[in-house]
Amino acid sequence: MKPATLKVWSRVHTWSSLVCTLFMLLLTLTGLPLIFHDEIDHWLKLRAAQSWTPAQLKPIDQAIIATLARQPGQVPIYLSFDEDRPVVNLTTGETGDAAEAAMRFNPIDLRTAAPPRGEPPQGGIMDTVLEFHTDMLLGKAGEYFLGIMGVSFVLALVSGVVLYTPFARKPGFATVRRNKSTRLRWLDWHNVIGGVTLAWALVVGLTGTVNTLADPITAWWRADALARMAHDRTGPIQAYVPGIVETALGNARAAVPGMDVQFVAFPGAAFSSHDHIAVYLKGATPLTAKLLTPVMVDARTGRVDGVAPMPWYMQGLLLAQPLHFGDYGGLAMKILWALLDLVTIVVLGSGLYLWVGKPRPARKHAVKKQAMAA
Amino acid sequence: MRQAHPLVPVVVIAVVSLAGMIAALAGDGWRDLAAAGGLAISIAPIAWALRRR
Repeated sequence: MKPATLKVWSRVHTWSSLVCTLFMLLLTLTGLPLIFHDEIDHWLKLRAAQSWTPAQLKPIDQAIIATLARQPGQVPIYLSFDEDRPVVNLTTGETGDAAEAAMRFNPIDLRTAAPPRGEPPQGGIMDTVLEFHTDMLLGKAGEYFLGIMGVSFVLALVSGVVLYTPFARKPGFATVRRNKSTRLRWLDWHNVIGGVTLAWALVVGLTGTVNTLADPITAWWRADALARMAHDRTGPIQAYVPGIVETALGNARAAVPGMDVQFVAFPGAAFSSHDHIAVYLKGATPLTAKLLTPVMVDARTGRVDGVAPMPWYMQGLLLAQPLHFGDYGGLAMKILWALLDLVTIVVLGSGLYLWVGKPRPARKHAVKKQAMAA
Repeated sequence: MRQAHPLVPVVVIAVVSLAGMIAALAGDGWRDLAAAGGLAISIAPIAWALRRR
């Protein structure tokens, strides 16, 4: 590589790294507990295993009606299901298309149609950590900013590989020159760790960036494929019809047998249309469980209006989430993911150290002048 | 003997760990093991470099 080309890549690597290092340190630190969010949630809540029979459970619509009666002026937006207990989570807002910040999260025990006993209404510490990791508690602006930092991180990785090639010829692969200066030893560590964790860092960086674009990607899908499937209209948002959810769930399951319900989006929600209840079904295999199939059910009659797998860009978005957090391959994978996160902190820290300790031309010039004067 | 291009081990490790990460997305059991193996290959050279202190 020509020295001039090398200089350009060196500048790209330096500045793309410097721009994102502080934020990447923040993300690697907050990302670490999020890898183990299931274990931490389980440990914090210390929920005893629960047993129940279907006969004990009240109809979902009864639970929804009871929750809405406790909160006048609220309408349902989303409904999801806990896997380890008979609890549904109803997200409500003042309108069906309310902003995320204005939504309320209501867990409901189906045995009583009331909130589960002894549980705070909002999420715990892990929800705050996730929020900090997603947008630094700054909302959408923070999320998009971190997306830009993700792009900068990917650029730093690519330029790092370009620079790695000529520098790695001397010490050889996975070699740290012990007899050299501290700075050169850290340069070797920076290169060794950065090189061997490249694929992981690229996957986490790219999927993190994709995740920050979840809203525009979902909006595009809603305006494109979902609108065509649901024959969308722009009239008022259809109000909740008591009893419609049980009908919608039954008809959606009958339309696509062998799939389980993941969540329900009510009319007006980002994942639905103005006059449909969208029932999202997941498959039985580990891969199809991550790729959801929406069934659009008429919110007045409960009739199925359309079923279609999500387009490639929505499937990519759905797969980007597990690929970012590494929580899909068991505990061994989580531990390795955490180790890779920790060594990335070393790469970021050593990069910063190398830049701070870099001999500057002005400093070199002053040293030379001093030497000449002596 | 001709020395291999310095990027060869980096590319091999990247491909193996990427294959592992994708395999675990598609299933459990041996695929989870493949993912753990693929990621362990990314960590192993660091452990090796540390041992050579």
